[in-house]
Amino acid sequence: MSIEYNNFSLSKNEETIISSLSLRTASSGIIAVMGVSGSGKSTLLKVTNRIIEPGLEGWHINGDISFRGKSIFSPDVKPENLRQQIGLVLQEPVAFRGTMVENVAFALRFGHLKIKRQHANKMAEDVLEQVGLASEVSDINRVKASELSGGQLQRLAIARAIAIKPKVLMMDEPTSALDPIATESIEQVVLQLSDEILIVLVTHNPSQARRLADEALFMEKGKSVHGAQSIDQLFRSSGSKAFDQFLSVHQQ
Amino acid sequence: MIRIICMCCALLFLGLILAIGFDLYTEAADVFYDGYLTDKPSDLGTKGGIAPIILNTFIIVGLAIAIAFPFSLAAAATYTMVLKSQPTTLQRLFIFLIDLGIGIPRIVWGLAGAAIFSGLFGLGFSIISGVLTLALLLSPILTFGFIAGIESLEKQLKIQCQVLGLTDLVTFWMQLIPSAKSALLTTTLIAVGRGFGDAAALLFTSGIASRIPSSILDPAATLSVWVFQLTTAIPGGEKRAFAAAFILFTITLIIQGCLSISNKKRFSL
Ligand SMILES: Nc1ncnc2c1ncn2[C@@H]1O[C@H](COP(=O)(O)OP(=O)(O)OP(=O)(O)O)[C@@H](O)[C@H]1O
Ligand SMILES: [Mg+2]
Repeated sequence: MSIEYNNFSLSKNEETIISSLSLRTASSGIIAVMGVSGSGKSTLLKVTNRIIEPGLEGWHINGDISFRGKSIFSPDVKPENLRQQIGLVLQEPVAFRGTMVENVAFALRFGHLKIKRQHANKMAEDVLEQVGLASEVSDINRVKASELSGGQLQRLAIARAIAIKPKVLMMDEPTSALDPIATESIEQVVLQLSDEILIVLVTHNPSQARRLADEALFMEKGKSVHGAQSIDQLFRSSGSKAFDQFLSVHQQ
Repeated sequence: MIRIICMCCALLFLGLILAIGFDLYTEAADVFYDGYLTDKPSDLGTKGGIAPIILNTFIIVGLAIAIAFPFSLAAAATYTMVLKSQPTTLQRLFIFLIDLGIGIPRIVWGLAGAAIFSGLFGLGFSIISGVLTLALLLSPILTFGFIAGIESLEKQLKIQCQVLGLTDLVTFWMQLIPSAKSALLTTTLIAVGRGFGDAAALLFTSGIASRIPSSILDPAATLSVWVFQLTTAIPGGEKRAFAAAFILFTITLIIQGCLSISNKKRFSL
C-alpha cells in the first residue's frame, strides 16, 4: 500500500519540524530515510501513524498524508485502525510486563485480531524464531522482556510489530543496537517482508540503505533534500553537498 | 555517612511511633479488661468495651473505599486516556477540581454531606450518609494518586501500545494499570488511613451511635468519632478516649503493616 505525502508540513508551537514534503512511495519494497540527528526522521514516522496528532500539544500540519488514497487525518479514520495497518518500530522500544512470548502475543490477543491465547503464543514463538531470539535466549516462555539487553529488546520490538502483519512497516533505526550478525539476520527478515509490504527504514547507515533499499530519502532540517530517489541515483549523484558530507562521515 | 543518618532517622521515627503507642497505652491502662474488644459500651461509653465501634469503623471505611476506588479509577482513566487528547484547558479544569477536592477542609465535606445526604436525601444520621460523604472526600485523593502513579510510568509505554494498534481501553486497563499497581496500592493505603482517622466528615453524617447497626440506615460511630465524642462530650471520658485511640492506633499499624509487607516492591521502580 503506498503512502503519499502532499506538500506536507508539520510544526510544533510555530517551529517547523517537517517542511513541504511531497512524496509517493511504492506499495512494497524498501524506502530508506536518512539524515543527520534531529533532521525529523522519527517525527516523520510518528506523524504517519498519528502517534503525533495534529491539534494536540501544539502540533500543527499543513498539506496532507494519504494512505490507500485517503487522508489519514480524515475524521472517520480511527487512529488504532491506521496503526494496525501502518506499523511502527520505535527508536527506543519499551518492554511490556511478562515474558517474551507474552510480549509478542499481547497485541495478537488484545488487538484487532483477537487471537486465542494458545494460538497467539504459538504465532509469537514463530516470530521470535524469525528474528533470531528463540535460539539466542534460553527460554522465550520464561525470560522476562524486562531482562533483555538493548539489542534483544530491539528485536523483540520488531517481532511485536511484524506479528500483527501490518501493510506498511516503519522501522526507526532497527539495527542501531545490534551486532553485525544480528543485523544481518534482521536485514534478511526485512528483505523478506519487503516482497509483500512496504518497509520504511530509518537508518544512520548509508551502506545498510544501499544494501537494502530500493529508494531513499535524505532529510536535512525537516526537508527532503532530493525527494525520493532510486538508491543508485542517490549514491551516484554528486551535487548534494549535504549527502556527500553525511556519506563521508558515516563511511570512515 | 548518609547511611548512618538514614538509619538514625528511621530509628528515631520508629521510636516516635512506639512512644506514641506506649503513651496511649499507659494513659489508658486501667480501662482495658478482658472483654474490652468484644463487649458493647455502656453508660455513654464510660463503661464496657468498644466492639460495635470497631465493627462500624470497618464497615464505614470499607464501604467508602469500595465506592470511591472504582469511581476514582474511572476518573483517572478519563483523564489519562480521554482528557489528555483534548485541549489543555479541560485538563487544567479537571486538575483544578481535584486539587480543590483535596484542599477543602474535612469539616466542610462533613457539613456538605450532612446537608446533602442526611438532609436533602433524607438519610439522616446513618451509615450510608457517612459512607457517601467519606467516599466523596476520599475520591479526589485517590484520583490524584492514581493519575500521579500512571503518569510516573514511562510515557513511552502508552506510545508503545499505541503503535501496535491497541485501543486506549486495552492500553489503560491491561498495560498502564498493572504497571502502576504499586502506586495504586500506596494511594489506597493513604486513603484508608484518612478514612480511619476522619472524625470531622463523619460526626455530622454517620453520627455517634455506639450500638451494633441493623442496617446501613442506622447511625454508627467510627473509632475516630468515638474518640472525639469521649474527649469533648462525655465527662470523665478522657481515659476511655485514650483507650479507644490506642485501639485505633494499633489497627492502623496492623493494616498498614500487612499491606506494605504484601507489597514489598512498592518503591523499587
Ligand atoms: N515532542 C517533541 N516536541 C518538540 N520538538 C520535538 C518533539 N519531537 C521531536 N522534536 C524536534 O523535532 C526535530 C526532529 O526530531 P526527530 O526525533 O524527528 O529527529 P531524528 O531525525 O529522528 O533524529 P535522530 O537521528 O537523533 O533520531 C528535533 O529538532 C526535535 O527537537
Ligand atoms: Mg530518531
